[in-house]
Amino acid sequence: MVNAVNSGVPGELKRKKVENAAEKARREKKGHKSKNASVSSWVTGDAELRIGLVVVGFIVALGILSIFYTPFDVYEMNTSIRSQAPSLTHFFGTDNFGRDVFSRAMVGARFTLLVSVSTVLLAAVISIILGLVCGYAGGMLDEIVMRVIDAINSFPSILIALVMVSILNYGKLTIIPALVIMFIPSFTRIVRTGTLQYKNADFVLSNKVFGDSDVRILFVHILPNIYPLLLSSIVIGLSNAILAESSMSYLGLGIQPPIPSWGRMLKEAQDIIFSTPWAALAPGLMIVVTIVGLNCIGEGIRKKYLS
Amino acid sequence: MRYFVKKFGIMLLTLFVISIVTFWLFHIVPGDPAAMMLGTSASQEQLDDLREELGLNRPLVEQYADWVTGAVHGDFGKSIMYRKPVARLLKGKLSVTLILGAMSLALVILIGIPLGVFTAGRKHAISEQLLNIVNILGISIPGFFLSILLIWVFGLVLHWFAPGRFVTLARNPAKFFQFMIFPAIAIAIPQTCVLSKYIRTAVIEEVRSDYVRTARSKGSTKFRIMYVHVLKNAIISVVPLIGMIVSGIFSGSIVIEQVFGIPGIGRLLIASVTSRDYPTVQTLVMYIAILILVVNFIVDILIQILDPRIRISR
Repeated sequence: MVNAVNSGVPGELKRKKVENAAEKARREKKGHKSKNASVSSWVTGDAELRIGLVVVGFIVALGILSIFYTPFDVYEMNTSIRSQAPSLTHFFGTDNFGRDVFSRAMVGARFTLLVSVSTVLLAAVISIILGLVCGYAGGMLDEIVMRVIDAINSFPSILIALVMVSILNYGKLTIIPALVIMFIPSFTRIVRTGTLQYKNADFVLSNKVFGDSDVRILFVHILPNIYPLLLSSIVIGLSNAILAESSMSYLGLGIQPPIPSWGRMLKEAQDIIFSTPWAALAPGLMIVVTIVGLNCIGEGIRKKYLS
Repeated sequence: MRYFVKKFGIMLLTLFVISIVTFWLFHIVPGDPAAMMLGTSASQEQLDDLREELGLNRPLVEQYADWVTGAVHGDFGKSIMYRKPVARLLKGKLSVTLILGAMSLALVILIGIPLGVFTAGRKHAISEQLLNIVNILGISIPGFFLSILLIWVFGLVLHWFAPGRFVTLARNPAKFFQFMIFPAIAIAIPQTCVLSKYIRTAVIEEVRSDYVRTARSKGSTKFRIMYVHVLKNAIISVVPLIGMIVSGIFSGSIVIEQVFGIPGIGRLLIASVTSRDYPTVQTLVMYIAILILVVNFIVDILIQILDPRIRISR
């Protein structure tokens, strides 16, 4: 930002100087741990990554903990404690059936994360193979695959998920294959572009001369170079997967009842939001916090390894 | 002109491929439409009759040809759920969704562009950080959660509109827009964040170019440079995004119509997916595909018209 302006106009020079000075001042402030500077360093660079990891780590821990322990039973309805406001016993209050919202949000975290992670990992595996092969082989195959991917990409993503859900049979995990297709286009494109970039690099060609097989070249020599970019896209893909999963669950087409999921908790709480707003706010904020955390990690990785 | 014809050809070809894939996808689905329409108590004879009537026992290619010719003439088959022609179901719903989409697109453009330019001019750390945070929040809030918050705050607490009481445009235009502005906002916010971010990058890029220096040395005001010279070029570089934004608006619309209870094609789509009403789903998919393809086609042509550099290079 500072060094980018390369012109001799006095006004710009002056601004450049001012910016330099500002940058210097900021750096100095950082050293002294001034409150202001630490706030701005929080949202940039490494700090972004760290905050994201802490936030997402916390949510993941809650989800894992819910396998062994939840403060209250997730399914048990108890009319004597219905619609209670948040308190020390019920962190997020109770819903109109007297179920503990916090416990349900914990279990919701587990299933939402489970679905999102498996969706994105499955999509990543398919895309890595597809992208490597298309980029390396080129030709007709590449052309066809890329056209199909372009076509999928121009569609509203939720529409594709809806079509898949309506075609596949209902099941507990139908949502996973339905969402996988949403993520294949972007991942494949990244892997393919990276493969094209490195396919004729000297180190790849020299390994080829030494007789390495194509498979070895693709997975041992080319793929590791694509990892950082792919990793940041995968993390951002995760946040999109959570968004998509909770949208589908909200529509009643995602994780099926009685398993609690954030999207369906919101759906159930929507009609009672006037009397018990916490029942809707809790799962909603869980979604927002998780997605913000993942976006921070993704951006952090991108900034750290790619600039 | 040659470019125009070529793009039009590609659009038709894509449409053809999509129609085949859609038709084929809904054909391999397990389950017999005739059995679904008649229920479990139907006799074999009734089933056979209905299959004959629906043309289910003819070759696939013939059925496809039938479907396409029907669709071109406005006949999309019969809805399984409503027992009515799909075309009649769509009546009135398409316009609602299109109005909602147009309102959202207008909001995205009217807010996103000035916001992007405004923030690009200011490189102070604080405002940049603030914008970053707002942007991350904007793309992180799920549309349906945002909608629920809007319904709560503006509908239930402030009584600015009546949640769940959709009024048609013909009956009361004022009430219609009063109601529709909130879903439009919910759809627009994530897209606005995306657009303003791109505009910001494009403007920062443009500010570095020679003509800006010339304009500045001639003594043009900062406002004039930004909104007359730079913006023109910055907008050209984000025109290709319009296709993506429109597709995002459709995505949002499908979910958000459900939250607000708006009787548009998004809501019909969810209802027909839930009840496995394949003819309706198939028709809606084709409708949305055509809309998206036409938008992308217009965007392609628009870029040609707006940017002479591309025209010459071809």
